[in-house]
Amino acid sequence: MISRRSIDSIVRSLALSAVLAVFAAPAQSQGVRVFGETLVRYIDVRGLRQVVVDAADLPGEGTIRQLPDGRWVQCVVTDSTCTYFETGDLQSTAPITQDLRASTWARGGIQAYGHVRLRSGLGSLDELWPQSDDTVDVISLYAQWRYRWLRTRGGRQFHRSTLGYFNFDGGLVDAAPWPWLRITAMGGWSLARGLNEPRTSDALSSVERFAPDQRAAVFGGQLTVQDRNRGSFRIEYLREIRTDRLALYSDRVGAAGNLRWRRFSLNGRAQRDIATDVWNELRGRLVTHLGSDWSAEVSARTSQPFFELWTIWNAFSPVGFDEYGGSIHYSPALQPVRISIDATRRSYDETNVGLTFAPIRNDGWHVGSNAWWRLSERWTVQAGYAADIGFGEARSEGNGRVAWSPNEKIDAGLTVQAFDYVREFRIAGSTVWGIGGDASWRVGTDTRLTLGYISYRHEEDPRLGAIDWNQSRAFARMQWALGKDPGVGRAP
Amino acid sequence: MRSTARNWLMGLAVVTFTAMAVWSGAQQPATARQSTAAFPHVEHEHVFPVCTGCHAGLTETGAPTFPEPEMCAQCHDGDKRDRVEWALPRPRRSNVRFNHVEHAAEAECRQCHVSGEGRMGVAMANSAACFECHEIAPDDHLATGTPCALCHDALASSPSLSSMDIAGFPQPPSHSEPEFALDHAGLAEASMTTCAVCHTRDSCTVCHRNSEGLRLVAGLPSDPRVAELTAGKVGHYPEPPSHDDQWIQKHGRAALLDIDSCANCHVQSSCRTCHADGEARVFAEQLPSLRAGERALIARQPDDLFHRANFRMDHAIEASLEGDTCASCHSPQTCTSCHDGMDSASFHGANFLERHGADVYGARSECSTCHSVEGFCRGCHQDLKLAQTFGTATFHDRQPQWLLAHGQAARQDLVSCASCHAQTDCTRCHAARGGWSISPHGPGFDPQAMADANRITCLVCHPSDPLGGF
Repeated sequence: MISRRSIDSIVRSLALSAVLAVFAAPAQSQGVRVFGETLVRYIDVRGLRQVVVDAADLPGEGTIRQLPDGRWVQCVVTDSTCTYFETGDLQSTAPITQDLRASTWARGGIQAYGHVRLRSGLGSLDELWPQSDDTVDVISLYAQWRYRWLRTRGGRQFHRSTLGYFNFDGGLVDAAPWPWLRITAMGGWSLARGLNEPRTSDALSSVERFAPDQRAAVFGGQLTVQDRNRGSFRIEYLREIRTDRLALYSDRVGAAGNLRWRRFSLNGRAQRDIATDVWNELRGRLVTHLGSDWSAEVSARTSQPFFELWTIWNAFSPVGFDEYGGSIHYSPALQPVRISIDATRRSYDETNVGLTFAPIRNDGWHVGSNAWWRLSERWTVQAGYAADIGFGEARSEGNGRVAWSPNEKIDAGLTVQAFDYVREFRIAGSTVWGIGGDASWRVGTDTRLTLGYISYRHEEDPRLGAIDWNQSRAFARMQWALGKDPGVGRAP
Repeated sequence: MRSTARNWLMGLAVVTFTAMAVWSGAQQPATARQSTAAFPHVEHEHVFPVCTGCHAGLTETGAPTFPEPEMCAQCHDGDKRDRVEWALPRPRRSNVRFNHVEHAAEAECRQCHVSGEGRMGVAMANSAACFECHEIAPDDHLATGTPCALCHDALASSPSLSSMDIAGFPQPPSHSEPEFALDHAGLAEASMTTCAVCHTRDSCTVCHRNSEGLRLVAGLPSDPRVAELTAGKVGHYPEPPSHDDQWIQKHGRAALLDIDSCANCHVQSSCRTCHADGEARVFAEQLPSLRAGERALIARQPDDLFHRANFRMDHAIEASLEGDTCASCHSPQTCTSCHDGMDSASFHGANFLERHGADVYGARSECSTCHSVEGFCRGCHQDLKLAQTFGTATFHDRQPQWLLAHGQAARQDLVSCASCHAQTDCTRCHAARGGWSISPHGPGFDPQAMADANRITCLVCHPSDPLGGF
């Protein structure tokens, strides 16, 4: 039975496809290429269920008690009931995503690009998947003109910057009059990051009472100095201001740079929130090649999350952490072997709150390793291990994969995975095992079909009350393309 | 039983084969056998006063080079002398180019054909005689720089040679040197006629995928004998000195400047196994295609061949700085395929839905670049009933005093808090308007800076502007 909503989605899909087709095929176009990707996923999910019990039935006294099986129970002094959580019913959802992208280009450096996403869903809880109720998303839709060292672009577009990767509605001018210099200016209306919609949309207001009531204008600029052999440096400014000009949503500067010298490479990034006078990110990384087969890396970082100014979170005086790390890699140029090991350690700044007799951990560390080996032209194996120990959640996991590629049309693989975790300040020690496979088949030159399935089995100590993660995942993906790639002229 | 019969048949076949070989050898024509026998020149010294009496063609164009059998029969008639059988020798299988008439005009016969004492002590000439006159040291016969075409015809113009003859050609020492495969283009450019003595186009196409576009190679004819010898051979591709450990970073510019050089060894698949997207994939169209049944020389590699470990999760610096470099492999949709949340499985790995908590707490990736904390994270957590509202603190059951301890956790990672809790969950206690006025501000809080940036936010918690601005 197809729901009314699904029918609406299909109608919208067809309409948008027609718009894209028209958009992508101007009469004078030199070429057009259309991409499509259909992704159908099947996901089992288990949530939590709150259980209410009579306080009189529980042993002990006080607001925190334990059930005979070890689970913690919260009791309210003024109430005769207590509550705890247990694993909810198994729910399934099958989100369907249809992406359509069209790129067209004409003589004189004119290009247009559009990317639309359509969503729908099947299953017992089709709205479970994030943004599944957002049936149509225009992710990009812009026209561009490039003339020698000048590029202008107008429409909904993604912007790659030292302050993140985000899209906005507006215009951008990019000039590179000399190979060593690039200047970029952009302006328009900003969108909520990750939503492809203005901050005034239902996507925010449905989950946040104090969501913005005004859109924001965004403007900024970048200055990049680069030397292909030695490195490059970029500094930029970005400001988002309410359209009624009463307040800012963000006011930031960012910088990034890298420097190459002989066998060394040094890069770093800085992000500063001007409004709150906080460095959100300061990061540096030094990489050196130790001969032709080995390389090593050391890094240092101080990080504090950025919050948009329409939220109250900055008033809660969030703190950041300092992190130091290193890694070593073995990757012989001519041998099909790659091995890497990395480790980091972080420590949080003083929060000036909390309980001295029951402190929450204020440090964490990570270790990881990965190895890849191509046994032959057809067979490849990969294995990895990682452990993350810190406040909030801890995890130890391993994975392995055997991949088989008999020819350029077929790829297949078998994946195994296991992980232990302690999550979300909860008592929940568990081990989850996963095993699955996937296969990809290229049909013709521009069509690919991929199928995958993995099943997870959960071994838990029932006394700890962890969420049951016995579940399955599957997906089917069809990718296709129409039209020919644009030609590229030879270098002079 | 079947095994015995099979043995008998095998034995019969061997016997038959051997008998046929013996019989075949016995039936070789006498003329053929005799033609290879050396004429006893010394014994005839008194009979023939000059060489040209029998070999007039060696000094006179158009005259016969060897005497007819009737000439022998004038003496060897069975009466005066025993009869002998003599037939004209078959042409030799050789690519030696030699004009006897021209040479005879400048040299005496014995100068090349001397083998012993006496006027008629002659023998077949050998290459030593050539070297002496042409001032080539014997050891330099196969050396680089020796003009092979001086004495030898091009292989394609030497039809008398069989495939076996060609396969038996001596290999010049230079061809065994490690640098030869990389440097032979200069030698070919200098004297392609030298190469053509032993090679045809088929020799080059074993390695050169772009042979049709190479001027020198295209100038060589093809030859079925060499094609037969090279069929199925795999090219040898030594690594040029330029392909050092930094080559991955440098090869793009080199390809732009001279992709024809790349095409000597590489095909389109060589690029496309790695450059799966972007302009480089299109640029690769200038390279030849794979031949039927072949695989690319460079097999598909994981991303970390080109990107350092964990690059997929931590490439912000490079991506924001090196846009042009990224674009050589990646088209814009490469970014959006992950950054708009579509290709989550390949980006995050298996079962990230369950595993993502540790990544969030450790800020190992910038979740907010792709996901709205409110619209994405909180929406899902609420649907799963993981996101609870005020008063149900048992969710954080690892800390029984959670209500008292949560401040430290909140300040250490407010993003995780916001992934479940709306601002109203906090304002119930922390707001001065409608709450219990428990101040959330830490020691370093700068109210003026906050107010200057967004005074509206102050009014979420405060009944009036605490700084008196409104």
